[in-house]
Amino acid sequence: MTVVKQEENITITEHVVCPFCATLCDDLVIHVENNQVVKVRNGCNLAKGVFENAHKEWATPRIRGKEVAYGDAVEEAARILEASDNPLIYGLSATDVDAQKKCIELADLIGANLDNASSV
Amino acid sequence: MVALQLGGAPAATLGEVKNRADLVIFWGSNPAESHPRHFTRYSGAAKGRMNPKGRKDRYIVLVDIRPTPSAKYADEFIQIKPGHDFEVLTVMRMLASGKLPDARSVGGVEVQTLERLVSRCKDARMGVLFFGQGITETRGKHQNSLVIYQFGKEMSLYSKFLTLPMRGHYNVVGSGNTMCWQTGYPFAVNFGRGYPQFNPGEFSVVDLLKRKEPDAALIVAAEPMDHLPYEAARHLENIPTIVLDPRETLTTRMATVVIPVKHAGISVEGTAYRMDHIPIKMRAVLDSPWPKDDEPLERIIQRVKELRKEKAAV
Repeated sequence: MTVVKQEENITITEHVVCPFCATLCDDLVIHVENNQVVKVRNGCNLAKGVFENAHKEWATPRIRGKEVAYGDAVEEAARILEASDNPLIYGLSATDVDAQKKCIELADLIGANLDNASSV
Repeated sequence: MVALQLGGAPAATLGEVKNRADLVIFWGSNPAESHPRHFTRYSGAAKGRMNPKGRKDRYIVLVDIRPTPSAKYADEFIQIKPGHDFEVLTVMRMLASGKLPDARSVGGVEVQTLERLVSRCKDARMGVLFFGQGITETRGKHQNSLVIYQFGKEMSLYSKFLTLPMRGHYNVVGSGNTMCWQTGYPFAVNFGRGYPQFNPGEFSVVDLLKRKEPDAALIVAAEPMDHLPYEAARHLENIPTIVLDPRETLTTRMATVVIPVKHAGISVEGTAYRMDHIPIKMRAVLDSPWPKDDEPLERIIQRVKELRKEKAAV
């Protein structure tokens, strides 16, 4: 991470890549204060939305709407997928390559259908 | 994607486009709203080695069914009738080979306008045709993209000519590349027989869900309840659906199991592929209490193996 400077509580990071569209602009400058993005330089409006809203409406671990411990959510996911005869794994297009590889490994293990946003 | 497999694609990086292209065509794409900085960084105003004056060194054409906000950045706007992309492109291929159609206009466009466009493509130092969802997600789908790839190949007889899709999700190219590298196929893969099989239409997400075939789903970094046709997405409400996502979405709200994860490129580093297949290392600027998504996926893999052993032992 290229931290350029620290002004009081504000951390300024240069050469940040925008994870929104596939243009992957790699010249953003992001100002962070108290783990919240307070300023986005060089980014378009879409990039501003992505960074400024990144920590709004965080997901929580849940089973059927009830909050649970992280491990319980993982356990329930494993139980569902192991019991499935014809599972579907879909997505992959808004995460990184390592996570994509794990999805493929899991699909191979459970005999799943595997598809990404190219097909839509 | 299917078109790419059928036709092949004359392609290059966006750096080549910036440095060399003097003719840029956007077809069924509205970069001003969907990829706002594509134009300033690569395809429009960007200054390059052979384009020292930037915007002035490029002729930019927008082809669409209505004048979108991108039209004001173009030198020429060509409006075609909805659903006539294939027809118009086919006539352009005819014109390129010296044949004249038996009509004055096609798809709402004067044949003369298309003749001028084709001769610009032939005379370009480097021409680029970027195509968007107006081509890939309308009637005809991969046939539209295929005729674009064919046109690009034919133009390469006269000039350097590229045909590049304007990809959407930031790492959709990576998902295709990673699946190709690991399974041999870019999408619509099925492991039901213990080895990867590829069949769009049979194993593609919209078709599977419309036929109500899956009995469980794992959604990783996607928003099917928002992005898929509802007649397909609604099947997810009737089966156990597991979602891995950093934020609450329409899909997490209806999911059976929600597993929160870090946001790649915001709260954790990772690699993504740009639309021209260049891998780029993403940085992290925020902290998140949750693990990166490969960690719960690995735990699920281990647990599935253990559950199978337990079952086999009984």
